Amino acid sequence: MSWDQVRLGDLTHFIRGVTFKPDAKVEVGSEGSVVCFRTSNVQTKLDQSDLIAVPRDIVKRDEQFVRHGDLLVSSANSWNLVGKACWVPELSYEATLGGFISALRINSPRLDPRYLFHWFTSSKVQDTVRSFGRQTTNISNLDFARALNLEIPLPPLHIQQRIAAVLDEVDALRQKRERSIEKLRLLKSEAFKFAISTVEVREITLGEMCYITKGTTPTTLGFDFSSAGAKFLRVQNLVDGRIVHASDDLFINRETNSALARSIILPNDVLLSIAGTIGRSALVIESDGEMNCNQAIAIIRPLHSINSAYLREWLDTSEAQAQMRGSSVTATIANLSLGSISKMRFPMPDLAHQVKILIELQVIQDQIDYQRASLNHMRDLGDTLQSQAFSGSLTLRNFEVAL
Amino acid sequence: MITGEVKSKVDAVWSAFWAGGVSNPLEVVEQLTYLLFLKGLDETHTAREARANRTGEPIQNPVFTDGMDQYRWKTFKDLAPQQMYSVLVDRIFPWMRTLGGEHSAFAKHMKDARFTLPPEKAGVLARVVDGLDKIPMQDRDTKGDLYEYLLSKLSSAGQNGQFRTPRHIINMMVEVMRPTPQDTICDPACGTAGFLVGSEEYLRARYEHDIYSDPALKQHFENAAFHGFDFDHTMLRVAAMNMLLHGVPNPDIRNKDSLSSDHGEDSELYSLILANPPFKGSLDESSVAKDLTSIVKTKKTELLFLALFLRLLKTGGRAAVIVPDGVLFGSSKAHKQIRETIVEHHKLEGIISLPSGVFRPYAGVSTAIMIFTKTGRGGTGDVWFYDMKADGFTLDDKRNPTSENDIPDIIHRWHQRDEEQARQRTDQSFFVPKADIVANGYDLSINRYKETQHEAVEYDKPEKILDDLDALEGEIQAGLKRLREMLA
Repeated sequence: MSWDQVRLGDLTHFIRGVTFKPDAKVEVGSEGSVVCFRTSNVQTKLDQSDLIAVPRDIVKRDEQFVRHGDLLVSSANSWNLVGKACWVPELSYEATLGGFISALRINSPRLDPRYLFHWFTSSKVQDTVRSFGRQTTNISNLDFARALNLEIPLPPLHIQQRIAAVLDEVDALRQKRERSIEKLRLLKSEAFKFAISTVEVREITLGEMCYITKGTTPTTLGFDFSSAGAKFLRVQNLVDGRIVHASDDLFINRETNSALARSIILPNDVLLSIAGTIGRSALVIESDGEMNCNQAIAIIRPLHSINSAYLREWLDTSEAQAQMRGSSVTATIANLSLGSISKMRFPMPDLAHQVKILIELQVIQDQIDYQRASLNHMRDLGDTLQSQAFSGSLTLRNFEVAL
Repeated sequence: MITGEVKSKVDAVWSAFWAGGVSNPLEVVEQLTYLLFLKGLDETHTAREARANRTGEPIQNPVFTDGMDQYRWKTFKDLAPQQMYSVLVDRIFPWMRTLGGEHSAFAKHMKDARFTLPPEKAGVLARVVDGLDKIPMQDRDTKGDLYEYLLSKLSSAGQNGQFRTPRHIINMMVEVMRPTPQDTICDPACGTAGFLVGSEEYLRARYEHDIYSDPALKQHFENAAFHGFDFDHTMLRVAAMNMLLHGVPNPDIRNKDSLSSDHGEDSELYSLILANPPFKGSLDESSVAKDLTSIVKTKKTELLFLALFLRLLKTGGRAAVIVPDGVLFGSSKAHKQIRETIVEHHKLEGIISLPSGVFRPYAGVSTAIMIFTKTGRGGTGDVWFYDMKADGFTLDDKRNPTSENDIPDIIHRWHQRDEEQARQRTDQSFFVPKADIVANGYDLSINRYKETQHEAVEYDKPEKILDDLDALEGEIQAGLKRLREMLA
């Protein structure tokens, strides 16, 4: 099946955001104000948790008010985030958009908005748009003209709607799977709480029983990263209680590693993120190899009487997370100090009971692992369907889309 | 306060310098200081002339002698640019460098003063002089405020900001310490003399009448109440000028490297120390003053400064000083020793933990104010801690004004400390008994004693979570089924 390829600019146009001075910000909901979306609101979904507002008269043209069905596109950002886009749902308030984002708006009845959304956020188009980015100092700018020159496959409207319905369904499945993993983690935390309420527990502070330190960024000491050697961990390497490796991992050579001897990581260390995103943890295992870490990661090394895996599980509990939140220094970036980690109150049963609790939690952990595998399958399915949909090779049954 | 109109005139003078290629803010301040000094000399001379005319006596202590008419601001300002430049550089500067302490403490520091605008910038000089002449400077308040405003431009200018403690923090420390007209006040790392000026303004606002109606107090205020040391000549000049424009003609502003020279002549002289000393790591062992290492054996500047304060204070003398957090909990022998000395041999009274953005944008360090009295025989009882979270400005690099400000509350609670006993460790301020501090190895960081309340978050019961999981699983199955039906 081959569909028309139509220039994006013949069906849509970009609307640039309004610019204003930082001191023009006003209270959200105040007289004569209008919500103004910024880069931080453009996530997978429109994030409405942290809104700002500006005086309404800053908006010069009516078209700069955001409409349902627009795509908000990050247009000035670090290069890997340029082009990132989200869907604008029905809003209960008036909103405009700030200078670093733009709205992609349909101006032709031939194009379905959800179809456009799926096409524009597909990995292929995202990569292409990113590659158009014009890099200034450390900000890359979306090249509007080149983006509008992209060609979008344009099947008849009812086919577009069906394709969008399929991809929406896959999206919904993924989100539900993610929610269900979230719930399982909550369940694990509750199970932990229950388990320690049934055994005898010594309440200690972590500082009494652990050696606690943190890493340093080698460049601050005049050392550079290298292409091989000891792995240099950052917060993004701590996922789901384990250390995961990514394509953009950093390494430091032997000499640098010795210079940063304080933060050489050993098996059975428990790592905890303490800057930016706080509270993510990981257990270090033998096979992880030589590692060091930056200053956003604390290394907690139990001295005795503590099973590292048990400690790692406890750090995930709502109780431990609340202790961290209570002592994080809220500045522009949330930080947790080593001092406050030392002061965390930690419930310590004897070693035998720690292991027993770990075994009890394993049932839930197995379920999490299973669901995570299922989530990965769903992501693969989504990617496959997406690439088929826009290459015209997706065969669909006739079905009516409820609009 | 200076008005918007005066502000824009000062800004215009500032811009003239920048346009002339002098872009180091400290250098701009220094050059303007010389010109202000010159203008001040003319005012002094005019006042003495007027007095001579009234009394019919010959002029007493004239600044300018016959034939020096061109040296006077009122004549000098109307010269053509090239002529103005050569008079200033070839005649006035060499003469100003010879003045000595005859006319004010400032003149003492003129020894190596240089005017740095190059000759081809004579036009810039003329514009600056013209601009300065247009700024009204009738009274002391205006002059002082104007100079403070000039100095405030240093803080928004990178490197030089290190010389300035924000004015609102200085005022808070002064309000907490409540200096009296009898105090002898010292800042051994005075920079632009912000703490001395803050104290001077406080005293003047409350005791002006007392000071000027008692000859002994007036004498003390003008000549012996204020002492500042620094080893940077530019800073000394700026500090002396700052004091002069605030109506203190003879403060003791001295060139002295506080950590390296012995303090025989200054020891046990001062009744109040207010300071925010620079912390620049470690000194060479050989360059540390011996009388400090006898108090604490260390090369670390922040610890040596604490030793210095103890050395300079007279018995009964008080101090409020800014220290980096490391001083409060550092575990080296020297760290513990100096804290133990203050707690056991003197009287530690309070620790105010400052939010880490206070010295932004040029330093994000975490600091605290330490308040103690030198007793020589102990006396530390319950130590008052306050966890300051806001100072009226955002804590990022922008430092925009905000309404969140703990300063009034800090001043109020400090002076009502007898009402503080009932507070809990979860409050923003609380007392910690000396015994607790000793038991914690003299750790003085507020986090050691503060207790945080965790909000009890109500989570769903496991049964409910399991029900939700079942429901989600059902939806997932139904969704997969629908998807299968859509695809051929």
